[in-house]
Amino acid sequence: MKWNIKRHDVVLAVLAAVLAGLMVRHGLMLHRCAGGQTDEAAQLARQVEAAAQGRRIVLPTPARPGDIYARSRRSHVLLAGSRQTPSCFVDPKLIPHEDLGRVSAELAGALDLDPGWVYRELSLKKDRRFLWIARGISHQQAQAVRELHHRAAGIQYEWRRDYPNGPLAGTVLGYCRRDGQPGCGLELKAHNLLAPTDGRRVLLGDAWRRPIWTDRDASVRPRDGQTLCLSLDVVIQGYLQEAVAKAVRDYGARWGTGVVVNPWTGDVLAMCSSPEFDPNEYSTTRPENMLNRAIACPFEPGSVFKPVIAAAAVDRGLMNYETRIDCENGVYNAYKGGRISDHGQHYGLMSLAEILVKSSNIGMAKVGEKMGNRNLYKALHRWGFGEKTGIPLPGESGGIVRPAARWDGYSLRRVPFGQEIAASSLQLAMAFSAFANGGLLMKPRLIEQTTDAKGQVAKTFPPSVVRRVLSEGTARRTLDVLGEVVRTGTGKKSQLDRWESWGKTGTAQIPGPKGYIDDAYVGSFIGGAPLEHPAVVCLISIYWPDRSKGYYGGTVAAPAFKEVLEKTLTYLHVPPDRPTGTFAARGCE
Amino acid sequence: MDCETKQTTTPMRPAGQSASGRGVIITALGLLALGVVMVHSAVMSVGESSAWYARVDMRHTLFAALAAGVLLVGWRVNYRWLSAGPGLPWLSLGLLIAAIVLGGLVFVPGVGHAVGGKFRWIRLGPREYSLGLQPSELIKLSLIVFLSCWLTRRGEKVRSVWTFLAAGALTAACMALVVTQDFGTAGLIGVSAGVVMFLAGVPWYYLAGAGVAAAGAFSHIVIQTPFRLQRILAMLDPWDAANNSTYQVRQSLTAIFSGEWTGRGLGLGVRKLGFLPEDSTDFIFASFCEEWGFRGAVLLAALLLIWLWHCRRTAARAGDELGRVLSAGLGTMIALQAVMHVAVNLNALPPTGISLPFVSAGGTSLVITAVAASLIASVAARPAEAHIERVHEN
Repeated sequence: MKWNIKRHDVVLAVLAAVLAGLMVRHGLMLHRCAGGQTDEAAQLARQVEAAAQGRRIVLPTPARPGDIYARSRRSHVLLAGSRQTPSCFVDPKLIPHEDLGRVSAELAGALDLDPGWVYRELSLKKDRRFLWIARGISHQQAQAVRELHHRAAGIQYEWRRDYPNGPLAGTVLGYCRRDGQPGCGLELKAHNLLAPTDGRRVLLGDAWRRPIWTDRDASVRPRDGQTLCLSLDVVIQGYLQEAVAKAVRDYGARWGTGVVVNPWTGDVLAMCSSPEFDPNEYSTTRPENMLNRAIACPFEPGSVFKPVIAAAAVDRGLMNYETRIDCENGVYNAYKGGRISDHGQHYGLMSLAEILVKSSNIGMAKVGEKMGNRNLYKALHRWGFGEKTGIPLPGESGGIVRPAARWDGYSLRRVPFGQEIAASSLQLAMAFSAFANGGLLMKPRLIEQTTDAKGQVAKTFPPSVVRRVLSEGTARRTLDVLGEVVRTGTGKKSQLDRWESWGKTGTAQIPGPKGYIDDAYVGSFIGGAPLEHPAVVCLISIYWPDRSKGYYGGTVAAPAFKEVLEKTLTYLHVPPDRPTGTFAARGCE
Repeated sequence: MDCETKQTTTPMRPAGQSASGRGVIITALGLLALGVVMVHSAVMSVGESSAWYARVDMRHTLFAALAAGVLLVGWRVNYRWLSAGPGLPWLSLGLLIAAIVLGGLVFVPGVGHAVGGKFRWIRLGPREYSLGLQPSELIKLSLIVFLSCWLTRRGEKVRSVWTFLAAGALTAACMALVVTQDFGTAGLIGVSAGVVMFLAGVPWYYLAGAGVAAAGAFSHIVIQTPFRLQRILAMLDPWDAANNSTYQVRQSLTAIFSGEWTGRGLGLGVRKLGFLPEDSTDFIFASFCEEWGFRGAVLLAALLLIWLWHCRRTAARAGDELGRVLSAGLGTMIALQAVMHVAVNLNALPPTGISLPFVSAGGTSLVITAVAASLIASVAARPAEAHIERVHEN
């Protein structure tokens, strides 16, 4: 075939070639960019990436922090919750300078603020793009701001912590600051459980930042915090708080603590520290009143410590409660052990049980002599003194137990009646629980379980035994001796009307920088009821009461103990075991 | 075949039987369909007006339907009527003069309408339902048609310098009318007119001389107007953020690059969301590439090449000189516009407003392009006798 190339062939072929060339150019451009090897390609990739990012609108979706619930016999009671509160923010850059005065006045009017202050804020920080003007405002105020229809001012909702029961268990709960950061207490310790994971919605916006569609892959759903169910019982907590506050008030004490535990599970049913702390008022409360003194402030326990050492000595087989000990007629000058007296009493030969009932220091000093430093120290260690109990609360003190190497003849005779050692209220309560539950040292349990946002149980914390500290027989025997303390000994004021109770008083001197401080005492009572099968163990400590009003543990703490236990046992429907009043009359028939 | 008909009337076959005519029409319809889809996708986010007629996608659909109608029936009109007239093809000249008058009306306040500071439109009718007309499109078509008709008339001295000068002056006048408002279209008119002269037999050295003169004028204008210089610089370094003219090119290239080989998917383009300017008209290729990727671009190029192939076939088999020049000239005009559009989008030409024929939104452009395509089909439907016989032998 003969080629007959005409002019239109030339023109159209040139066009086709140019078009094909453009496609080749297109492909080459993409190929070079896809390689990503050269600087140019990297720059291009950055440009494309930046262009893809520029259209993204990221909206935070705040998740809800977890709640804290205490229980009562029938239901759960909210101790700490969160609610959404509006806050007003301003983008000062969007306010033209000439409008500043008017906008400040309008905002101040809507928010009941000082217009001058608003004006100062806005003019001083006029280059910022975000400024909180008022946080935690009311819904009416938020509506008023919305009705201003000013593009620079907006409302954002934040989760705000709320403690509907005020000071109830306040020192246990601690508080959360306005920005959601925990301050102290359980809020701080369990923050990792309570804290929500905020989500974010990523929207694809057009050039005018109008949302077009949601980028599901980049969006994150908010995850609400877990809810804590505490072992605290609000009713018992209320009884305890009331009683301790009353004792502190009546005896002019510096502070007082109280703990109620279930000896069988280690559940902390109530824990308080007086003066009280209302987490809603955290910003105006003195920091020392936020302390949970039941765990954070160890003190020398004094006589309440005697049963622990006596039981340890019996359990080791060194003696039994019938072993008779010479109490030296009230004054004992031990070799290299200083002078020990029995606070004016003159006791002679007494059994160990009687020593506890009468609370003889000399008798206990001799028990210490019999045990020796090594055994004493091991017993303390075994009972968990000097170590934290592991309750999930911050700032716990393990108490003070001096290193064994520094123990001397004084220690040997002082530790058995609760000197030269400091323990926290919770440690003592847990130690006494071992008498009640047959010799097991329990780990205190505060959080029973956590549930996730859907109400499904996320984690349960079963009761846990730290170790066995006594044989069952010794525990039972000790309990009987402690029952005798209440019946005939120093703890008569803690005698309950309808239940047989047991317990031990303690009146300890408070050490200062130079020996014990004059007229400074801690009056304590630890005990439980009923005697046969204790349902609760309760500790009450009144620190540094006014001496003129009374300072013995049997005086300042035992009545409060009685009050708390009477109410608590009634509330828990514990069957009375003491035949008195109408019950006794009916029982005799 | 009926011998009487053959002798007395123009041999005509239905476009359906003419492979080139069918190819031209089907390719154009394919491009039209692509355009409807792409314009809908490109203006997806805008939605600023409530009147349905004011919506770009609605109007585009309407005009695409009109254009499809023109494509399907336009070939029945005999293109030879265009060259009717004693001495000169007065019909096409009349059309050209009318177009030039309309082009002048653009500058008349009240009638002319500016978009983005460019007076390119005439608006008629009430505000929301007004009919916009872009006279430059009309001038483009009528000039090509007139030059084809005039230069292919029997006895016209196409090799004469005077003929060339007259044609050149006419072209220059048309370009001058358009150039201040639409530089790209003026260039397109000039090159297309030159191609028609070349096809009609004007010696290439006249045209080369005119090309040199045009290049001189072009560089003079570019140097005179700073923004055009900026555009040239923008083409050379599209990532120079200090140069405001790079914005369009940057957006266009970003769209093309983020489309990569296979594209983001139909409707998933992002640059069209207000970033890429003129995404439904002058930069529709870029937003097409973002959603369809390189393979979409190749598909588009393939359609255009098929279109060119059929134009070439039509020209080769045209029944007369007018048909040959007209079909090749119009085919060139449309293909050249497409090539320029793609080149601008790919930053091979400085940014200028050139729409993609059949695809870009714009009523006048669509209908004019459809008319041009139907003229080509009209030529294809009336081939030289040799080809008719050959078809029947097969």
